Amino acid sequence: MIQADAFHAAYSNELGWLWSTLRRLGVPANALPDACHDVFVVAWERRATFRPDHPLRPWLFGIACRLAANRRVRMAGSEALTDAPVLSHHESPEALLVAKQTLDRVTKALDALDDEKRQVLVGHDIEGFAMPELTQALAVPLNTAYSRLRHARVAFERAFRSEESSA
Amino acid sequence: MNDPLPSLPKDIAEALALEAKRSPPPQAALAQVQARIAASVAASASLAPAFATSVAKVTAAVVAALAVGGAGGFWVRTVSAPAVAPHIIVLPVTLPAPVAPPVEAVPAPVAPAAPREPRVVAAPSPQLERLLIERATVALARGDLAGALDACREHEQKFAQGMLVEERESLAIRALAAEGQMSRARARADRFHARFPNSMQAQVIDDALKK
Repeated sequence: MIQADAFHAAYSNELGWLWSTLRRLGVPANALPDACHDVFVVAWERRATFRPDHPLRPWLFGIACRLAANRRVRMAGSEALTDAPVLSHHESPEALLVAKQTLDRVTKALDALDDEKRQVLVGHDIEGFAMPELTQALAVPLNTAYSRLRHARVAFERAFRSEESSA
Repeated sequence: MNDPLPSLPKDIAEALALEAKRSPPPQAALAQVQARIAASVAASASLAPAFATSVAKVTAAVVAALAVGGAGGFWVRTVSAPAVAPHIIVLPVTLPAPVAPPVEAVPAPVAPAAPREPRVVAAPSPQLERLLIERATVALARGDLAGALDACREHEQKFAQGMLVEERESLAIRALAAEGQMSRARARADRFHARFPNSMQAQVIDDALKK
């Protein structure tokens, strides 16, 4: 079970990561503060279920996935994202523009996925969780997770290419 | 990562890697959320003294930053909780766009220090549902058992099939147990375990019934 001091450190350290993750899971910008708050309140309420010998992020990711999907915090017409891509100061304006366009296409391609595919693709291919961590977080069998990821990658690539051709 | 999946196309892999490196959100926005989390967690019945100190530091720092930085648009009210050191709840009232048409505010569990009661943006659902659960959580943490049960009752009336029924039942059972209504608490806990056999709330419910 996570202790109080560790929990304080957790939300201090992981809030920025959680914010970005919830956005990738489809929570619109104007709902992110509430969603972040709720994930940590739920995490605190359920702290007895956290195993200290396991990494924290996959556990939080599981809660975030359930909240993002089950509470239907996402809404149509979400606000445009304002955060910029990470580029070095040496990058040209052209490179910055290309990066922003790429990220817009990533967001639209993620929006084209259903919750199950989106969760596993975000968790594995963006957050970098190992499959065993992810299956535990999402409470799905390993084979199911792999199957979802394969389908998610196909659907993501199709949507990403579609955005490319329409750009 | 060693897995049996085929490799991603290079451009797709690069696009996902770029997404993973997006800039973090604004620090001010994070500080506001951090203060809200601190307040909510501090209201928990399981508050540890060391954590109360940490919470006081967080809330004081955020309020000071708001005062110095001029990040207005926040309603700050002092809360006197009997079980814990006085702390501050910072409620944002100027979030980007409201997520749904505003309705009447859910009554706060304590009277605000400010003379005028600001309207909290709420909605029929799921924002109102969340507000009711948070109200019950805070009331239970402060020892306001009647208030917690009222909020649970209101949630039950308005969200019989809501998304947070599991949380509501957990709060109601704990409030009943704390009030000494053990037979009602146990009966409700039995129904809870039957309905949510794998619930993460099971342990805290069982702990409450042992006290």
